[in-house]
Amino acid sequence: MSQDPPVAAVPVAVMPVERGKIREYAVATGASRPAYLDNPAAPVPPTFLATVVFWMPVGETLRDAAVLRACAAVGVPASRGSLLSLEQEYVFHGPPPRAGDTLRPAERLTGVEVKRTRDGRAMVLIRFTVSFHGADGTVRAECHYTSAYVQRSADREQPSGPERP
Amino acid sequence: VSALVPGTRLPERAFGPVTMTDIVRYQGASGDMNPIHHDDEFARAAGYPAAISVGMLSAGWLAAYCTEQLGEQAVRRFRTRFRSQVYRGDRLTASAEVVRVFQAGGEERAELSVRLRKDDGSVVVDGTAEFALTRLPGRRHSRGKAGTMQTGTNERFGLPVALVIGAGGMSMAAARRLGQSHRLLLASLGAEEVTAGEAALRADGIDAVGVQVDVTDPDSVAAVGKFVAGQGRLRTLAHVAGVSPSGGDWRHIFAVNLIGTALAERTCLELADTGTAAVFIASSAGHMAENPGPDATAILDDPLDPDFFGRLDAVIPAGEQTPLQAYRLSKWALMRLCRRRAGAWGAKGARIVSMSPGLINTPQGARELAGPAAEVKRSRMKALALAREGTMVEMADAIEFLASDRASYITGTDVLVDGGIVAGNKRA
Repeated sequence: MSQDPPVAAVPVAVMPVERGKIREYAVATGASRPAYLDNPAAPVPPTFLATVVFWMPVGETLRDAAVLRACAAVGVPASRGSLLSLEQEYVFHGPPPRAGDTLRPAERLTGVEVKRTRDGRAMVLIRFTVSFHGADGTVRAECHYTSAYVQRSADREQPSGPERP
Repeated sequence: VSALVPGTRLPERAFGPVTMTDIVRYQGASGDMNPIHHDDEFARAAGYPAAISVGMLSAGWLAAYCTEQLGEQAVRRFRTRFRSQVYRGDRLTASAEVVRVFQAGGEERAELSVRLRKDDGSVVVDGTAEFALTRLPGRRHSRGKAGTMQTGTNERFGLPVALVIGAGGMSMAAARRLGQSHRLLLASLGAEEVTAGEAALRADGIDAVGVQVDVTDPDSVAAVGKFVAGQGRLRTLAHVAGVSPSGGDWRHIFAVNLIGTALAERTCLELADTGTAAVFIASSAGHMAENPGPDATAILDDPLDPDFFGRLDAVIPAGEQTPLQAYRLSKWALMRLCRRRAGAWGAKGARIVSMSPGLINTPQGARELAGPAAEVKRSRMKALALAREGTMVEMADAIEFLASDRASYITGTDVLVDGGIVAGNKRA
């Protein structure tokens, strides 16, 4: 197991929290309620910050040198085909951001770990965090991702992961 | 405060059957355009029987379920693990159970175990969520299951925002009335008062949110200002909070009735805009006050001076510093404040007025008949033009009018709503 110390993320991207985007996201997740649709200062839905991908590429840390080293060491291809998303966690430091807010997102790698699946295949577990900073630099919210590159047995048809197919 | 205890299960909600439309709509919204979610051939080449739904769509449904139950602004943590794939046609059920209730970040929170499962019982997504219990569950209007009737609170974001400061009898009367045409923010000192007031208004269908404030604390008032700003444009302020002669001593009465008023005026002026109206509740007692002279007047005109009380001590002998005199002078100075600040409000297209009730049948008013100033009150009543106390409905009528656009040419003045008590006691 190798674990790089968390590196302070420096926000460079800008993510305006847009009312229309909140409407779209709320409708797409079965949350068509006035608090999201009609409120000019609507709060973001709990998983809304996933839309940061429209403002900043997410998952850059999956190509981090520490990740690639770990994959090479155990013979797991660090490719999109072997990548699984296992978990996402959104943390809000106070009420969620609202339409009209401007956030500054930044991504950082928080952990790389080599593990075995239940059927004995190697996997490289990667944890990274996208933090969303307010205008004054304070962290308003964070999204913690847990993903894994998993060795795919040649004899298996299904690219099943350990904790989900 | 909360009805949520460990073991409480929230009512379940069904999603699906999942359609390709659901999937592509989420893909568009989220920006995850992976073809494995909408291209059957692509998914089959990767070893799946058909296109698989998006894990984050399942998480999003679960989040929608939680916010519907616990409030859109209450989410503090939302963690989901992806357990199994969803395909088109799957029917899903969201459920949640309270694991613990705890304090964090200065608020009460509930941790919930959340789960989205298929009809066959297999878990699609599970995880944990933390929500602030700023709103009582059950008060929120949720869609409910088919066939069940639920009443709830209006959510009309087109309505303007009104801030009512105070949660006593007259405040609640004003809040009930303004709540018919505004989204209402109810600010008061006591947590229980705020919670009970908010609950009572919401039970009437009024879109009310309670917030605690110490009107004598500049930081607390500023924090409420920030909160109001987050809710939208402030259309109406009804500042009702006040301490009557039996409710406090010299300092406390001045601190709430005058310093608190000045702080609220300062904060709300920043939020005011064209058409904003502020109504500050004074008192007929303010009209009974003798003019305290130029020195005291200059001090009363500057209540935010850090040495306000020291300066007052220098001009008003300790023997005259009675609660009744504090009440009269604080209300007298409040009326002056509204006159003096009318220009600043007018510059923003906004109005500021004071309104002076006479003897009103409120809980606080009733207490005065048993307090140290009871004799004063009784003697005043003898001279009432209308031989009765005023009602809270009559106060709400006047506040509503003064706040409304029908009063668009009324500013910088005091309006007596006193049944003629001043006319009877203070004949020219």
